[in-house]
Amino acid sequence: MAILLRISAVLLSCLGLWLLPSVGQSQEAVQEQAVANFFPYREGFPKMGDIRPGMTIDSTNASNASSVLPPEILKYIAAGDFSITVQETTDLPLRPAFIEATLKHHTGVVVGEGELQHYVAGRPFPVLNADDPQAGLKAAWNLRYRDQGDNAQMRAKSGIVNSSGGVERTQSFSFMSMYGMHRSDPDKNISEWERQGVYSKQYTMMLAPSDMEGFQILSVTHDKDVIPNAQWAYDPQTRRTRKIVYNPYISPERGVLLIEDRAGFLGYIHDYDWKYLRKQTVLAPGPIRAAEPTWGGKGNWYLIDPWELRRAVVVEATPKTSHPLYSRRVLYIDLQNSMPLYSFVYDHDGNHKRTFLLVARHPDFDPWDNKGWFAQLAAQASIDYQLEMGNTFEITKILFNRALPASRFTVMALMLQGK
Amino acid sequence: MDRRENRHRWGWLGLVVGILLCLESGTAYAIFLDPEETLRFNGRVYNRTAMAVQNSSDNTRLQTPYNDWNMLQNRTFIQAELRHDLTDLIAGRATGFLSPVQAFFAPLRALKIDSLDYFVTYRGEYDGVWDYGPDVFSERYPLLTDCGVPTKAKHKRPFSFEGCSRSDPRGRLRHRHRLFEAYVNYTSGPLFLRIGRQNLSWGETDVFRLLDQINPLDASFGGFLVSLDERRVPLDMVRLVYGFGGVGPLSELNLEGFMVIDDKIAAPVPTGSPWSTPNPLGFPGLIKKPSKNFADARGGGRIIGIWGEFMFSLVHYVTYIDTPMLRIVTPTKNPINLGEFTTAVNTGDTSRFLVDHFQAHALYPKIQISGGTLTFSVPRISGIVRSEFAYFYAEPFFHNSAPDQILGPALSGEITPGYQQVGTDPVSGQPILRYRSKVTRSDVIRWSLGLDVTRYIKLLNPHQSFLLSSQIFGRHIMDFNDTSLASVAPQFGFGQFAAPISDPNRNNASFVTIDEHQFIHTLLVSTAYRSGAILPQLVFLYDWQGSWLVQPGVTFVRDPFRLTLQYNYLDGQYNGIGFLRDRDNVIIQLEMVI
Repeated sequence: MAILLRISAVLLSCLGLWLLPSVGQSQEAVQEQAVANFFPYREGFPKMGDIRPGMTIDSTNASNASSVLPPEILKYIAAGDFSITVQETTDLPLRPAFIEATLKHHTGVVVGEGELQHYVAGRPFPVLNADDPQAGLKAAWNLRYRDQGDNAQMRAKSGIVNSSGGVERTQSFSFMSMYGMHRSDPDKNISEWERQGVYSKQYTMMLAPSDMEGFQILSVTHDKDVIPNAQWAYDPQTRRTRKIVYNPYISPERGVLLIEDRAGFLGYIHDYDWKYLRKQTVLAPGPIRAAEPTWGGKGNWYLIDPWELRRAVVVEATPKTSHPLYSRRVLYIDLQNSMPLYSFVYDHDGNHKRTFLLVARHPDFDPWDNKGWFAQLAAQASIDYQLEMGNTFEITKILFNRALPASRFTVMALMLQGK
Repeated sequence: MDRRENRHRWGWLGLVVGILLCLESGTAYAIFLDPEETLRFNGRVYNRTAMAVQNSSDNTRLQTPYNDWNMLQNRTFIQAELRHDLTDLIAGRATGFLSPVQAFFAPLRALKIDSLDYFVTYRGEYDGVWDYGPDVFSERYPLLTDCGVPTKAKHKRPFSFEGCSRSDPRGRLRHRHRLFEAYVNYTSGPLFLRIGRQNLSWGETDVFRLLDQINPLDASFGGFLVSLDERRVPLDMVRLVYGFGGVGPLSELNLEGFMVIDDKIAAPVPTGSPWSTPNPLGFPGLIKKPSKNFADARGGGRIIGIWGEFMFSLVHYVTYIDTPMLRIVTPTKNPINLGEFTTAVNTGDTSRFLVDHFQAHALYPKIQISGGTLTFSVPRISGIVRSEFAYFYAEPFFHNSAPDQILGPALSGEITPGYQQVGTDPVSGQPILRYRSKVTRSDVIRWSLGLDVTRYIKLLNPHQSFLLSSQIFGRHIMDFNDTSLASVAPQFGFGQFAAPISDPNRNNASFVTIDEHQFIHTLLVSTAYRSGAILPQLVFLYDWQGSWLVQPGVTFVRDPFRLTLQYNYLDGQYNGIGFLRDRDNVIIQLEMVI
């Protein structure tokens, strides 16, 4: 299979544009469709039935939104857990550099064994064909390689909230990420990371509570999905920097989301079978114009800033091997910017277990003087309906694409930042 | 309890209550003291009560016996940390309330600073067991030397009376205020410098330390039942790190060095403390500490590298280890007269004579340690393998002998091993003797192999994973002296390597011998229920010399509070951790975090 894929990749790259008409689409048509996917609201914002900006969807009229809300959300609106205010759709175009990189490099990109071949930058698969058996898998790769800037420095906090809204535990931390490969401008890639096959690195330092203060984690994500992520941690209790195991199926916060549940999905792509379900217009949390989102509904678990109609790609991920908690995951991915809008996971009996709602920050809200907007996560609501517990995560401050040395993402940096 | 102590106690309680009231918020977020987030404050306070669940053994607590359900500890602990990033002030781009003073920092720009910050920690401790605990602790500890009829004045000011001295664990251990850590960090490119009072921990092991011998440990408030971080004693130190970045196949290579100019050592826990080791020899003690000079400095270096999945380090340094080298001597200026010695033994005044003429010197040996670590992950089992090797050069060992070995000349009339004649009494013609107990040195190999695994055990917890962490430790004494006691006792000689603790299994007629090879297993199992609100943990520790610790515990979390219940069950042979086999206790700790 791997050999076949490699041969296909070579053929594709050799034949380039000329191969594409043979699968039914001219290169111009593909380019046009790729551009259209980056600007899905160029022809106007979507209108669906009775859904109008300004209206409120609650338990009294939830059924009116059945065509634009997944049943996993509709059920809880109908039950009165929370309500939605609708606003006009927001056009969230990505950075021109990312779009240009996509149009320049997308041809010839093919899915290999746990990696992409001939991928350089931009969205690897700007056009998804529902008839393509790899469409779901390609959507997952689009999710992984969505525009997330070159680097970001964030301040974040999270809380474990019970069904009566009581905040049982909170954490506050600073978080940094940097991408060493596949930047929109490949000249800005970090050559050493490229040489080592390191796609990105993430650094987290716990600021509170004080019994965890100073705890740090450095994570390394390899470009090849089949290479396990590497992790090191500095533990202020032992004053040691130590290699720790990366296991996407555990919950470091001992809460209601696993590592792979972060940002909609942060697991290994190769661990799942991906199925493209459909393209759909859905009601989803709209971008917020504030440092922090508004929480409300039952347990203050829900993101209740206005929601809006957005075009989404819906994919389903089924674990290839036994998953400790989930039997499958359904992801709704924003067509325009590839950021997850929400995702749902199901237990081994097929019951809906958890919902993850995500919200981006509006380009107009930028008190931090950032340059070049991309769809950055502002908050994530994680709700476990079986445990009757929620997790509120929010990024309260973000600085991106600033001068940030790669040396901040080293094991040495953990030691130096330690006590 | 006098009025001043009472005021002090209420002052502590007031402080704790005040903090509790000020921080009634249900969340625990870091406190930035300025909008620019350059000044960060963290704090925690806890109160821990330890209650004995068994009577103290007769042979281990002769002078401070306690019964089950006596309080062993009521410790209140406050920690406040402040970190201040000065980088913007120095660069002249600060905008906060300190910006008016940034001109004063301008000269520091010559240092080409990438970042500069300082960190200070205050720790305050108070143990109420000395004030309202059992009588054996809350009352004055007995006088050690004879200074006539005990009076109130002598108890209060023993040193103002000739010949009087007192072991005063209460004065030393009741409360303490410390500027615990205070240091400055400087980074410029690949160079990092930290100067000040600090802790530095090397190695990969938990619970027991192999290469982690740089900072001494303070065992005076719970011994090894308390976390390492709380027990470390910070030292005045310069620490330098240079990062080479990626070198050849290594994705990272770093060089680290340190030098300590400090006189702090792991001071023995005073007799009388609930956490002291079993009854010491009974001689007046003298602790010989290093000096604050270059000759007594500690220091060394390590190389840390990362090669693919492997993280390794190579280490060599010089330090003072925590276990003192115990030497019984007659003071140089006060040798003994054999005639007086013999008379004292014959008239039943042996103890008086020994206390008056002999001293126990606790010498902290400065030794070299070399070693390395290797850690790698095993993704297939979601595990991490940790290994560590340490070679201790010339570690001192105490020799076993019958405790009456020191009486050799008085019993036999001969100069027995350990004694040396340094003169003759011109009046009585009796030999003048000097004594020095035998201490020899041997190289020691210590190693550890550990495995950390995360696993779901659905039967026990369907929602959260378990952390299983297991370690095995080995210790091998290279030139082990296994001379049997029987072969030397008649000659009052020295036998096998031993711990200087009387062996109750031999009617206290010898010291506890140690083994040439020692192996210890540790196992930690932890998980979480109710989304992290309930955190059970089980620690099991087995010393193959035949002693063990079982430590089940559970912590309930509701910000900003943590309530911990823990049971410490120690038992087995009277060796290693078995020395504390009569210290079973239950702990209740209420903590508040910011």
